[in-house]
Amino acid sequence: MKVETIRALWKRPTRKSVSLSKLLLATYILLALVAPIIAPQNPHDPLQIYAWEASSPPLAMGGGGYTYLLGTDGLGRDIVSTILYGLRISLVVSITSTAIAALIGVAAGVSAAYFGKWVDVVIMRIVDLQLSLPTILVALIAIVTLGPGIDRIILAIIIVQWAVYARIARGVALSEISKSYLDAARLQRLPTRRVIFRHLLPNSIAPAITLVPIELGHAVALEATLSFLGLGVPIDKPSLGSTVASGFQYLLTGQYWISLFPGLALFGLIASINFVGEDVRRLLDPRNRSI
Amino acid sequence: MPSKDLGSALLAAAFATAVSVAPLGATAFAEGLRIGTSYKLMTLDPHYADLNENTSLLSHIYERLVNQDEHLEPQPGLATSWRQLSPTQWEFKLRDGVRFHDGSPFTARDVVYSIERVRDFLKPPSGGFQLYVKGIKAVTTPDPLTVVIETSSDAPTLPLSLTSIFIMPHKADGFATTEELNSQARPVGTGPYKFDSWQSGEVLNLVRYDAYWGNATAWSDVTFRVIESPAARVAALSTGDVDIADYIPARDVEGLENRGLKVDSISAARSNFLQFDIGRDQPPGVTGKSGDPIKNPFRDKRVRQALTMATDRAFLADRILLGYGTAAAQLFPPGLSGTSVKLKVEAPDYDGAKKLLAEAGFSDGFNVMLAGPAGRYPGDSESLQAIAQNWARIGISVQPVVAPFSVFATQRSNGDYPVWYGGCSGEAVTLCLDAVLASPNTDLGTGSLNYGKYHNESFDEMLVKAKAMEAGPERNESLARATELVMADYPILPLYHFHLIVGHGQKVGSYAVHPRGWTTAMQATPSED
Repeated sequence: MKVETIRALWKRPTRKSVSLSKLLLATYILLALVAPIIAPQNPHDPLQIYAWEASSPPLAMGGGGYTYLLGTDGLGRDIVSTILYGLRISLVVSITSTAIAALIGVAAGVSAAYFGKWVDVVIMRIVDLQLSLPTILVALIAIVTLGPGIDRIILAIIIVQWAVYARIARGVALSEISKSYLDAARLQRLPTRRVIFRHLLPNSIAPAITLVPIELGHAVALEATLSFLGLGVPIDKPSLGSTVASGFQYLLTGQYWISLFPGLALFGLIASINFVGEDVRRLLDPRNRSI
Repeated sequence: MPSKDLGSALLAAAFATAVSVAPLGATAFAEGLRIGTSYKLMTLDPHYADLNENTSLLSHIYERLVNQDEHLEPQPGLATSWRQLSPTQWEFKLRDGVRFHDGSPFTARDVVYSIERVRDFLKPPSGGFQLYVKGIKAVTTPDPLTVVIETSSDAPTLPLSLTSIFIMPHKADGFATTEELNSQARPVGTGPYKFDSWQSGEVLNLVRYDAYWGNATAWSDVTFRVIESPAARVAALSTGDVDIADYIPARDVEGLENRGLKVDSISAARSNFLQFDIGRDQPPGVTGKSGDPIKNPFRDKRVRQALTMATDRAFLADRILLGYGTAAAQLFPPGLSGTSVKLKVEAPDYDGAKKLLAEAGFSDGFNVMLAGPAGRYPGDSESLQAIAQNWARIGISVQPVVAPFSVFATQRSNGDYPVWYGGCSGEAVTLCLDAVLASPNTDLGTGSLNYGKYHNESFDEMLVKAKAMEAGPERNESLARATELVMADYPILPLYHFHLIVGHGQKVGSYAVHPRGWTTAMQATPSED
């Protein structure tokens, strides 16, 4: 079944919209990787910013010898470069936090299912408690207690997301435990570690994997929300969300480009992740195996 | 009878016209005024807390002995004149023929009552006003229209202190409690408007006081609506829900003007600046280029001067505050009493600044954390980033850190920052000179905002001497000299005086914005037509 999961993921998609979103997502990741090479300006380096060219409209010529294709923000940062660098931050934050949250969540869920008794009770009550609180509230409390910074945001998103994985992984693991192959493994007196890691975990992981892209989209949105509220990334290293936030106050004065373009980029990123996530879910759904 | 019918019809028409004209004529002379304000009035006790929130709105009902004009100079209020009898004695002549809203005459007894109520009766949490009267030893009344105030030490600026104290009518027995004023009793003062009704923190309704001693008031009634969100205030003004809205964000001015609304502004009697940690050998958040801790660079005047030279204050005022700010070189905007006309903001000189840094032994620059509140003052967090860009050009890499004001203020008092964004405002520049630049001294009450522990003995002496002088041009001159002396040592880096912006609709012809930031109906003049 483990091999099957991976094989299913490699299957070629058949629907056009899905290929489009994959292409878009791939472009985003590629752009993020090569941002320092292709961006006309490093918006994190104060020496490359011409402050007096702040709030230039799109297509204005800049003092650095390049055109501000999408204009500049209120502090003179080139919007194209800000989007490219912001994309890096948004992706690093969301991928790191989602990966760690998935690992912790699946490990906690499978442990709860395997050991049962008080381990199960303790872990699952924490999960219940956390899932009963609104996501943004948990994130806000985490950020306010941990303080600002990129690492703290990652930590806050992990705190928010691990519970989702834990609940799903426990459910699947419980149904796997009652199957005969696991009885066989236990009857061979294999070490507990080997039973969990070689037999139970790989077979419980598929639903958690379908969750990853969906939660990745959530993580991007959550980081953007926190940054928009001013509780996210440092102000001199803006992510997509904080760029939208800093441009928000200029909207009424007609300087639409500061918020609009980063907002569109953010929208495209979350949409493409969600479509790809939907695709993954479809591929891994046993009822869709025949496709 | 057709002729009679015609006659009555004409009569009816004439009557109808008269009826419809009469209210029109009346409204032209006595229109109501609706003001959307950010000030949340929480009490009707004029002596409860010294905040613009209360004083701004209650100044319609209550008046002071001395008023403050737009240069912050004292002007006659309920007192017509005053003179110093001795260094510790002031005589105030009171205005004759003034009556409270309940009809009782205003006399010296009311002044005694008001001062004693603040000094002796009100206890914490009430606060702020005590500062102005705690030096008063005795108040005597030689006749009903004369008050002699004796202070325990020299009080050259007693009239200025009295610009903060509202006069209430005296009570036959004891003092009125705050609860009493907030609940059953209507607040009674001598002001141009009478109290009508209020809802704490939401609405205050006032009506014209016809027997007011001063110039007839322009508005028949005034309604204050508390609208705390700036965007909502702008929206209320745009849609005509209010005639005046205070504290308009600079970015909204253009939109309002496009909709035919008018905007008035003035430099606020305040400044925002960067403060350096000068007191400690090794403040946190400062490292050498390789990340190793270094000795406090801000103790060296040359470093502070270099940072000042490398800060583009014109950019902050013109771009970040969109022109609704004045680049600052001192604590209050020039033109207000006690400020210097000689201190000017220079254009940034990065080469000169680099040289100075090299002389001070920081030719490679250093890393520094620059902290500030987010969204407390206009342009606060944007300024930090703009300054980071400026300082990068002289080799100083800045890590801007912003936090909500409460968090920022706590961390600042904990000493977590090496350089930070601060502000000071008050009724006179001496208040800020004392709080921000004078050496911390609890006995003298100085240095309450001097978080960086800056010490300058010759300035302290000059300031004490200047403060001891009688109010007037000479005193202002001495304060200006003291300011020039201390600013030559670059104790702080003044950034800007932001402008107070008030928007108004067609009904209001002009609005005289006061540098203290008050919002009152008395400042609004009706339009001519």
